[in-house]
Amino acid sequence: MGLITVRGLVKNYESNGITVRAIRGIDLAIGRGEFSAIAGPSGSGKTTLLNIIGGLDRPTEGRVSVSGTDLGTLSPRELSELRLRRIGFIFQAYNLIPVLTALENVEYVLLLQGVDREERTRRSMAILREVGLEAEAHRVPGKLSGGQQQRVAVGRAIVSEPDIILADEPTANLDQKTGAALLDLMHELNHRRKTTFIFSTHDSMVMERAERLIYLVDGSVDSDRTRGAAHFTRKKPAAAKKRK
Amino acid sequence: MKIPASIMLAAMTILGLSSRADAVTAREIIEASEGAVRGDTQVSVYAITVKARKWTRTMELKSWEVRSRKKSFAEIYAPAKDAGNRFLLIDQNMRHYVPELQQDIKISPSMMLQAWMGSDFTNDDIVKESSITVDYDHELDGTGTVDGHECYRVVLTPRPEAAVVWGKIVYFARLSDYLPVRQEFYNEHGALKKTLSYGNFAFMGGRTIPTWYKMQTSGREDQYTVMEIRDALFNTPIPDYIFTIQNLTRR
Amino acid sequence: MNTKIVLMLAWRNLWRNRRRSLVVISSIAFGIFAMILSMGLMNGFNSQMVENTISTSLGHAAIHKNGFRDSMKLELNFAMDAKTIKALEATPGIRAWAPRVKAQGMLRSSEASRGVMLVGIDPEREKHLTKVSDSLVNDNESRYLSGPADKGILISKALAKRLDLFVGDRLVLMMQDRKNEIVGVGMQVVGLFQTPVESFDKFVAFTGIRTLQETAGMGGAISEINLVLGDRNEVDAVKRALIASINNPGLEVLSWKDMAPNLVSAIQLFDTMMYIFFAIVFITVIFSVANTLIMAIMERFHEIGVMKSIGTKPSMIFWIIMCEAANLGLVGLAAGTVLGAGLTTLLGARGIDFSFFNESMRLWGTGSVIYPVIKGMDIVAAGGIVLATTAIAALYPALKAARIRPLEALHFV
Repeated sequence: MGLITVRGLVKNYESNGITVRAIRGIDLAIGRGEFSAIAGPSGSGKTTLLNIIGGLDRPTEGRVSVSGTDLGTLSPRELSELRLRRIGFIFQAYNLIPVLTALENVEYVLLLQGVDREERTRRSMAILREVGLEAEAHRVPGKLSGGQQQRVAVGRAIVSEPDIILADEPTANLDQKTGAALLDLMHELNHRRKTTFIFSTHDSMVMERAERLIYLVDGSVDSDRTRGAAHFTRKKPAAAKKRK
Repeated sequence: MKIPASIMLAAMTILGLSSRADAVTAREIIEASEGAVRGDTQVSVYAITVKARKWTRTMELKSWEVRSRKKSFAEIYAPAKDAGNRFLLIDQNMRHYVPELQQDIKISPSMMLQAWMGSDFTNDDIVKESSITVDYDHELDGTGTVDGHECYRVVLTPRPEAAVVWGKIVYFARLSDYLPVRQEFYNEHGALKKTLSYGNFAFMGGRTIPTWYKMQTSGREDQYTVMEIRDALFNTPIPDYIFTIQNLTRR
Repeated sequence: MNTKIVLMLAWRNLWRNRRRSLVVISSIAFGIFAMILSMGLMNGFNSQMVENTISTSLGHAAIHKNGFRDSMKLELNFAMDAKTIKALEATPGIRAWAPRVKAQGMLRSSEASRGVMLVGIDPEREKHLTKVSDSLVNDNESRYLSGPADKGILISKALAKRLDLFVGDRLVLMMQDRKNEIVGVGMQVVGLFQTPVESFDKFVAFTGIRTLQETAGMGGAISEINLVLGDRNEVDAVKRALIASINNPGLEVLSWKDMAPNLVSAIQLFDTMMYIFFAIVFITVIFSVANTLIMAIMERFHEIGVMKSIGTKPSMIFWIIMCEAANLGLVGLAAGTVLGAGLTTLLGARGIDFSFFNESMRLWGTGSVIYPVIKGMDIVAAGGIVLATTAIAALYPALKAARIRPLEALHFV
């Protein structure tokens, strides 16, 4: 049993009077310590899938379990707690609270958890060191580059030592080089701490670096390939390319 | 012109007291003048016209008066809307009978100070004895012609303690019979404020009197009050019942 | 611990859009400033209106024969006996007192007649009571009454004009004496006065108390004992004490409030006007604050979504917004209060000259210079109301923010 189990997931939503079928039946299992990407073209449902796994959205049909807990059984408050302690989020943009410094942004999550001041600062500074931004600890996001901001976001996501980190297109606003550096950082953290990283992306650079690539098309899994093995969920002759 | 006997008598008495038969004192003139127009008892029929800026009103009334007993009674006969209003005055107390209400009301002393039926006279003026002889010092200041009559000109100055508002009164009385022709009322700064003119001298009730009085405020020539005596009887006995409440309130 | 971060976020958020925040703060500050200033003005106005009426003639309290105030009839007079005097001297809080005779009468001149209230005074005692002696016109001719037996009369400048009288002229006073007969007496105008209270001037004249007593044939009886206290606000207590110690059911003791209910009504009228004005200010503040907050939240939609995604509780979001509003309110309050109190105090010392409204001012009897007065309660009330308003204004935006669904916010890129 994986850390995250998805069974029979269907998600529909209303938009302008039309029912949009974002996810049309997905079965998935993601294990601990994975460094996986959910990829696909725009509208393929990758962000929706990520949101559901993170407890930000509820499925129309199907079941999602995280660490054995069925998300469907949790109240909104319990989901919020879950997100606070067990899941970290990194978004494409606006990750940080603009009026707080880098250090304060990282501390924020710990503060929400009730960690006392001394420990908070210690752990946060340690994380900033890990992501290489110790010197910028007292700068506000407005004074940091895009890449630096995202790195602080990573730091914040990881400081509470969650089981899973979900990142929704984290490199979308960054240039190639910075994006790659960010990915490498995350990969390092993933190796060191065994934190599961799940990205949603359409960036090929990200896809290249992922250890497992789950490719979605039109709301279903088109291919699910782990590096080093080929694994198809659907017979699509020339669709999936072998990558190395 | 026939001079009333009473006047004759009064004048002669006064003259008799004076050492110089031809020198009449100012005081005497005034006294004679005032005496000429009033009697111990008097019954008169009047028409009073009040002209204000926007309206004119004429009332006809008859009055009975016994001066020594401080009693008087008056009744309005015209116009129709005012007819039947009666006034009874005993001492200082006036009662007014209003025919529409069929009730008489006591006119409080403070109401006495208000204008009598909208005229230039206050209730009090109507009621009170003229204080002209008592409150003023009199000085004869030659003669003059006023309205065609040859008159003595007497200047009256108020006594220090007197309760009068005038700074000066100039009184014109006819040489011939001392009848008043005009009174001019001045304030303390010499400005003429009111003029009382007398005219239409006629023989009535046994004496010659002016039968036309006009009170005019200076500066407001379009507003004045005129009193005409239509008929008068002097010093005839007046029965007591006239001055009773019953008479006031009779239907 | 959470409180600290809430406050910190709330405060720092204020300055993200400095201009907008300052606009709101300014409008709140202005609202408070205006309220404090106008309250000060009103206080000064009311106070002076009352004070002038009191010092002109009303005094703080008066003792009459029962029913005198209503009918003002001369025959309702009383003798000032030893018991009453003792009671007056024994009651604390009374600064001065004087006997008076009051009678309705008519003043006649060569020009016109006017009904007036004649007040016979003891001039020396009266000086400690009311300001008539100070109100004499400065024309080198007017003089104050010399003593209780002075036969001269003091009339107002307005009355003199109406009657076409000058100092030194004679007038005739006609009034009813005790036997209800009309008496007339000639009196000389010895002085003209002008008080700030127009309604007073037109209808009152002064002469020596003995003169009036003689004219009315009253002997030594008086109409009124008028008194002035050390502190105007003690009048109710003093009134009760006097009633008890005089212990004469035939006499009535009235405070200025009893005698001039129109003043009390006027004050209430002004207060009502004030409340309406405040309501307008509040509505402005509500819209101003609410609008600003809604805009701010709109701008931070995504950010709030992120905050909620990473575990921030809705209640915390709510309090952050509420505190932002509170901050706006407090800063505005502080600025407005300082300015308002400062200016009002300054004006309170110098006074505002309304003499170009002179005629109206004389109608209210306030005098043409108004000295605004601040009362601590006013400032507290104004502040409290603004804070409450701000809180109310923030409720809707804060609730909306707290209810933001992260999902919607996140898609709001």
